[in-house]
Amino acid sequence: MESSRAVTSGPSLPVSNGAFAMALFIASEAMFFTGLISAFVVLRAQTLDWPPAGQPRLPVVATGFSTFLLLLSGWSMFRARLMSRQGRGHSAKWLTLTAVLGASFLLLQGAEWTRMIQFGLTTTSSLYGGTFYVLVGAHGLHVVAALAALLIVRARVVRGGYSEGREDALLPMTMYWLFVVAVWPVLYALVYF
Amino acid sequence: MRVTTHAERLLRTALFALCGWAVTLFARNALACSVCISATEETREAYYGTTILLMLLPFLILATFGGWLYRLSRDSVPSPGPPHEPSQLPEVDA
Amino acid sequence: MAHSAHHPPVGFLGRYVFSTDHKVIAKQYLFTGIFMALVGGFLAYVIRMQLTFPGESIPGYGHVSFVHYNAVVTLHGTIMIFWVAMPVLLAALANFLIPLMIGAEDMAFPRLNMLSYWIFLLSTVVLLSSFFVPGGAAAGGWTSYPPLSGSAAFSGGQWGVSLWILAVALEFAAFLMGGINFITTAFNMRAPGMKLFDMPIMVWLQVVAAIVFMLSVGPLIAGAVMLLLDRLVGTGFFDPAAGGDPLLFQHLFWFFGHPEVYVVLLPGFGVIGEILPVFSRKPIFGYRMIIYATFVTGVMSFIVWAHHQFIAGIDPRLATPFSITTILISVPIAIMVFSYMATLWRGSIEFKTPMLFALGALAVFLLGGVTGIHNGTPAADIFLHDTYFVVAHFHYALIPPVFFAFFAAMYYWFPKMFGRMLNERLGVAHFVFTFFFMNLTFLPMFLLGFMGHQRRIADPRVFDTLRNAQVENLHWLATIGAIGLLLGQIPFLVNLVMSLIRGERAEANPWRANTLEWTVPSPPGHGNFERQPVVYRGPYEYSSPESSEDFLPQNAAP
Repeated sequence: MESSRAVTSGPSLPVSNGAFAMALFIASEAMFFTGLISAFVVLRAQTLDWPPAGQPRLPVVATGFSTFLLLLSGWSMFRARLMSRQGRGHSAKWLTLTAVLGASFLLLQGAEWTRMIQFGLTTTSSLYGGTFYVLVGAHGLHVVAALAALLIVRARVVRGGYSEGREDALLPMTMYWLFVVAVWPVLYALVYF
Repeated sequence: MRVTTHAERLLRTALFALCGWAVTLFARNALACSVCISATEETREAYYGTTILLMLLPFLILATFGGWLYRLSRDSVPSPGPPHEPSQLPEVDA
Repeated sequence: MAHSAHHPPVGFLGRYVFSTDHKVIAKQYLFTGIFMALVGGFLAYVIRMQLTFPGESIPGYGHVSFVHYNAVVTLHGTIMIFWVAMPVLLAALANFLIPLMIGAEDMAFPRLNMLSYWIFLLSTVVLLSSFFVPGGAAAGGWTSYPPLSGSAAFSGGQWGVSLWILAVALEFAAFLMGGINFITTAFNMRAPGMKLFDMPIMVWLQVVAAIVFMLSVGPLIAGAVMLLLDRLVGTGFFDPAAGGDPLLFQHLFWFFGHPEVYVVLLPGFGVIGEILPVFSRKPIFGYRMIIYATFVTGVMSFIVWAHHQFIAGIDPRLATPFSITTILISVPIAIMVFSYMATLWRGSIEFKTPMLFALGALAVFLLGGVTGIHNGTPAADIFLHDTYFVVAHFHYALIPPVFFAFFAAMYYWFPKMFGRMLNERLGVAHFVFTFFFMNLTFLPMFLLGFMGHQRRIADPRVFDTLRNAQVENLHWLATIGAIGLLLGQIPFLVNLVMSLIRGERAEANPWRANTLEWTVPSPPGHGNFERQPVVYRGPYEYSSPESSEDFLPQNAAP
């Protein structure tokens, strides 16, 4: 996001430019995932045997654990923003925890992927595999992007890059992270069950 | 005020039209369809459901977004009065 | 970055190439768009010549094979919608006008704005490069329906469609950044005193268009990703042989595709809304009504899209509601058109070139809008679908906002952009040529459509029903019209170049208009406003008894 500019504004909304723009971005992201979900629902309804015979079943329990980790990271992100908002200096610690939790989610997902590819579930093996990798992969890429942004924000917080008087500097980052977290349970419920 | 009446009337008409239109969504009997290529009733249901989902989600998002902004502006202290001098305004972050 | 750090850039590169100034970015978008319009216009010429002289060598292009014809049609549609309408109407005009009209010194995110243009330029290069790859450019139609676009066997080579998808995806990323910027700027950066309902109609319509774009583009990107995977990895989402469903892509495409029409239409209507009051010297009729109608249009644009699939095989239970909404959406559009017409009533109308183009846009659009009713009714659509009637319909619906409104905007805001006036006499000639030849090109196509002439065929003589003198004559007329339309743009281009070099210097407010962009010098300096403007009134107070002049700028103190 852009750095701040002095706004000699008249009437404006009670949110910062960054938070407002992030909300708009999240809206279009939500529509993107809805498009993917629609495609998944249609393709699943069309296929008579779902999941197809001879294809491995998805690891519900193991992914349930990584789901828990991701939800936890959402909570710690929320804490980080709270700390920063109240002017307490702990927000960097909570950001670190969020990043660690997000990264472990990604690692666990990656481990599951390699296992499933070994068992013969690939993008081309069936529509079951194809939709799985597209939906979960799209979400995974979003987590990667959010993680990168989080690390940048964290570095800035540590450097003291957010000056005094900038209330709620972590709000856009928190919004995006919580969005990425919130999309996952929907995908998990749809794809894994 | 005259303008508000216009807005209200338009909104009422729009809502009325929307309700009337929504009735057509509940037609259960499909007429003979020479061009339908979907294989099963499940597929048709899936298209039907996702069509409605895709159509309604933008409004849901706008309503959520609008509600959030409304709550924020209601909670923040209103600052009416003459326009401020630029130098006195706080820096708004991005 | 504090206010003081926002100093003017130095050097040629900093000022004209890697600039974060919204005015420079607008001009970059503008010239890229005009260049692409020339490419798209040339492709239109190839299409018309091929249909009139099938199989013969076309001067300036050569022989057109059937596969090549598909590529030409695809690229003509793609370029005109995504690389002309979007950059010129949305990106260039919104970039230039929104900050100036609301009294801001720049966009909310200037660097994001610059990034947006450079990604757009990259997408342009990718698209143009697809002409030169093995197998030729994408030949799957601008809608890129699978199975045509899903496999290399149907759509030219392996490269064409893949590059097409990549280019479109990049372009949408660019406009997503742009759209976020426009909306944030309009809502959060307004000058003191400017309430939401003091914003000019242009700003409102740009904002609504940007919101519609942002909420509709997601599913198309999802579909494009899956199509690309189908081609590159072989997933088979849209391949019936692998259990996929080609209809699914249409489902995702048109969810974006139809709102896109309104994304292009609304900024065009915004231009007309700015120009009519100025050249009628009269307040606009029903300012709020126009804006409410815009909201309704924006909302309804999400619930009409399946009418593109009446024939493709949607559930007939869905055809009825979509048919109803499609016909209903003409109501808010009609409210806008009638408000514009009522603005003219008893005004002191000046027929300057911008006014001519604005009125021409309304007149031509009327025919495009009315024929939309035919297409929106399933019973009529079964007959008219995929014929030249549809081609004529959407050219009548899109040429007014994309070209007429764009030309109007150019004649109107050119002085503000470049500090020089455009030549009035060349402008009138340009209008006469454009208006006459546009109708000559597309009116015959309605008749061709009624005669059952399919679109997207390279040689009508292959079909017995189309091998007659009447069809040939109509094609002749349309081709003469198309060539005339293209040649008619020469006065405009000459005008553009001549006026840039030695046009008459423009004063700050040559049209005696009210909105804020006319209160600064032409062209405006870096940072736009030397002193923060304060707004006291709405944008359309013409012939006000409060003023001895017949206009009252928005920042005139009461």
